[in-house]
Amino acid sequence: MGTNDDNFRERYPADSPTSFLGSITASVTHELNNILSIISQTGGLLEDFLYGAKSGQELSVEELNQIAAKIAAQSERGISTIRRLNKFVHSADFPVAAFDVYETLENIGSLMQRIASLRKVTIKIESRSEKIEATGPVLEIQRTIFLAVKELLAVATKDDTISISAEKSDSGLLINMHLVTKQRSGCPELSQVSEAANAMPAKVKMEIKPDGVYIVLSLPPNYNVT
Amino acid sequence: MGQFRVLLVDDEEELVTTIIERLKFRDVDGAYELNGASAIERMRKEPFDIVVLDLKLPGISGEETLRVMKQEHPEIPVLLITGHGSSIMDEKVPRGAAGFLAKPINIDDLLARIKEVLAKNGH
Repeated sequence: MGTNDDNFRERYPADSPTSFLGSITASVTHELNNILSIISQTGGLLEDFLYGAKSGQELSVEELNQIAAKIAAQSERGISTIRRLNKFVHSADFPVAAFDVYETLENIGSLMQRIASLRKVTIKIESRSEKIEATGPVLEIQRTIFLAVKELLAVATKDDTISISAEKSDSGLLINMHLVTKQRSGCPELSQVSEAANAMPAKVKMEIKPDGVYIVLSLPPNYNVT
Repeated sequence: MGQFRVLLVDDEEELVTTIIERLKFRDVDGAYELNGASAIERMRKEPFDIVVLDLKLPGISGEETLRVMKQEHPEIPVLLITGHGSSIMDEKVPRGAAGFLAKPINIDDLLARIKEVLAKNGH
């Protein structure tokens, strides 16, 4: 049987802020389409039940409750997804802005999860030990993280996890991305990630260890990390 | 026993289970799988008259799933589901596929397309 997705890297381009916004928006709108499809079919099922009731079939209160709960849950899922997308696109409003580092990681991590799920990989944002704030090009930082995670996804295997965390350091802010894997399917290509990092400017470093692949994005002190 | 048997393949479990239930209301017997690999396995064990396959699947892609299905069961038609704006909407139907439907699916449109494809296949 063939491979998972031979065109994975090309499928989600992010070689410019515009194509990055496009990749994320396309992925999220696919998810919104799924959510609306579930709501639409569940509403349709309710119509089917009512049609059956008119023909003398018994209406089950339990089934009606399940339908109501399903619609409510999917509506919540949709609202949460739209909130995240809205927050993400607003990060393009200003070239440089103050931002909450973990909040930003949680937001972009959640938006990337659908792409990761297609590779059967989980993105996990490590719980924060302290609030970290910084000032910088938020969209470019997210784009660089996306490019790094995309490279990790390209070499990940089924049921792997990508763990993302942030920490303050003497040299500024470190964003750690760790692909936890026992059997990666190749080596990440860092040229696009480095190019995006250099433009900010920031540095990127990769290490391959027995427990997986580590990519560290290092943002210098002039990002006013507090 | 329904008029025919459909295998629905999509990773949104709540969506496929609801569609299967709605098809049952319309006297259609359906089963579902959440990924391509399990759908291919299911087809090796059980008979189906038609497959409705989402192209965006976790693990093995929808395109690869279609290829394997058609290699192993060339007689079973496969209808594809795509999201809005998918590049495939502007292109020709992939080799081996009987056609495609855009999400969100209207249940009556789905049933009409299934019947149309099955009629073409002499069902």
